[in-house]
Amino acid sequence: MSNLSNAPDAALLVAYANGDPDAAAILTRRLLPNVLGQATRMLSDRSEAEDVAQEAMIRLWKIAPDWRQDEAKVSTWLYRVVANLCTDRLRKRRGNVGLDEIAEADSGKPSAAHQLQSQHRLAALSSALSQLPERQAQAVSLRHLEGLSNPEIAEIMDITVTAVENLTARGKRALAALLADQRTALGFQDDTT
Amino acid sequence: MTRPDDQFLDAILKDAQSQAPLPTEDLVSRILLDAEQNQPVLEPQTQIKGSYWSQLLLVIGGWPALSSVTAAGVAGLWIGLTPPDLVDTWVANALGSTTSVSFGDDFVGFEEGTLDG
Repeated sequence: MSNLSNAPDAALLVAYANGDPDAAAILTRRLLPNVLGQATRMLSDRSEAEDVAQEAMIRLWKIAPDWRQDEAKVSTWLYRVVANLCTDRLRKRRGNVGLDEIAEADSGKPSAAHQLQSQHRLAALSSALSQLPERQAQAVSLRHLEGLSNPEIAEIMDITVTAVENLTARGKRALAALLADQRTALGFQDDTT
Repeated sequence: MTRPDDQFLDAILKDAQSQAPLPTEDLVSRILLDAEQNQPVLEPQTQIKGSYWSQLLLVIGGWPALSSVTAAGVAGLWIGLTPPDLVDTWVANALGSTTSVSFGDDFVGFEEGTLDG
């Protein structure tokens, strides 16, 4: 395994496709935390995020025999797959969960824990993302949740940098508008960090 | 100047960024099982089964090809042992010598096949 542990992702994927028994384990340990994190930050649901992570990795295993090393980075490809899987799930949520329902769930409790408040904020954000057009939701999440640069997002979404800038700007404005009336409920006045 | 709505949204986004769950061993196990099930199986090269002679027969083209080769061989042998006069004369002229072939007394049928220049 030591020979492969320092190998690039694409080389590991090729090794997996060629039957190497260790490549999948190395790739999983290396890539899964980011995949799961991205899904969790977009969906605000651990169980759903795990399902998305598993599905994304299955797609990676399936594409391995056809992977062309000169095309794209494995991590870039995974960002795209996870973003698409998450927006699919967010779209299905539309109409099922309202912002009011999430935000007011515990708003009456006098001593809401900071961690719980953080969870509520994430849930409200995820719900607001589900209200955005899919491309906006993807661009905003990649820029402001994953911290990627505009050129990286452009490559992931296969669009120009200018288009990324437009999508993130419009998406962020829309998010702010969607969350505006939740400020108090989400504890913004109590916690200005 | 940052508007209050932007500060609020930035605070929420910052909260979300801090979410970095570690994969459970159960999830890792499920994913590795998927990997095992989806890993391509390299097909071994097809082996030709059977004895040496059956493989040889297969290589040369099967029984029809073997029959043809046998017929050609027998015909060649027969022509060599009983050449027509024209060939007999040509060989004698070309080589300038006489060649006799005898298969012994038991091969009566081949007596006429001797070359006698």
